[in-house]
Amino acid sequence: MKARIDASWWALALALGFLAFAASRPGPATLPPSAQSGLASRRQDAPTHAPPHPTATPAMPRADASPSRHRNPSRAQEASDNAIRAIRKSRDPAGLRLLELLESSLPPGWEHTFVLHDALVVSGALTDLARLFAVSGLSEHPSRHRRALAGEALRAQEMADDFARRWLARKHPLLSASAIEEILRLPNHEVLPAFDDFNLVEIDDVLRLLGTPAQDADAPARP
Amino acid sequence: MSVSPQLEQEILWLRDAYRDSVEGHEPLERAHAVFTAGWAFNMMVDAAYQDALDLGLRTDPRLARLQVLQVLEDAR
Repeated sequence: MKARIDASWWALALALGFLAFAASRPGPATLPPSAQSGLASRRQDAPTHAPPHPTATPAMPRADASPSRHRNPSRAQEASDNAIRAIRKSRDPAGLRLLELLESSLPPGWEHTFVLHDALVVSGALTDLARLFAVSGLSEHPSRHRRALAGEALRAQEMADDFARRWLARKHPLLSASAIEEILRLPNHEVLPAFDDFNLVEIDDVLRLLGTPAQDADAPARP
Repeated sequence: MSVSPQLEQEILWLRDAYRDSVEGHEPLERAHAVFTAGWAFNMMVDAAYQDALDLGLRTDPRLARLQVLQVLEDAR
């Protein structure tokens, strides 16, 4: 049986919480049924997909969103608006700081993207990773977890930071380097495993597919 | 199994960013590797969530996971 990641670190929950709470699941759309194969067959209840998109290019041979489905910036706008309302209502300090950061560092229109969602996910996930990497019991205060890291745990956290830094810079090029660093460092402890359905990682697959340098499960831990 | 071009691109961006970040490092302890890779994978699942939301499709964690796995497998 393949291992699953502990649900407690599931940082995606925060953003999904905001979005699922407020985004109202646009439209009645569901994915049309089609034949399942390969990976899909691993789960009998796997959802199904749409037919190929007519504009699919050779470079993207499997680009097959339904012709009737169109990207709509208003959906990201709606998600952002609802997340903003949820943050202001909850007065969560991390959420408020991220909101302030984006409002002050990005030109108008950022609400039409998922930048707030991504900032929430990244800050929450990195906070939770630091908690997991740190030896439990050192502190319950999330801002202290990073300072507790050393050696191997610090190295792992720095890898995660670097990954997030590279990805945020590429996906949201208008974010300044300083804004990204603040997102990475902001303690965001409002991450709850509220969406355990999304905790579906089969870790052996993930380690293999991402090429993660990992010691053998039976190997002794390095100092 | 199908994946929109935007989602495929974003998953590969995430994969490349992750690989660039871990490249050249000594192997991590398994627990640390699991958390690090798991978080990267879940960022990809989140991208699939956003993609479904963007396209007005139902957001489904199992579909998102399968989409990510397929893109990663096909890109190997």
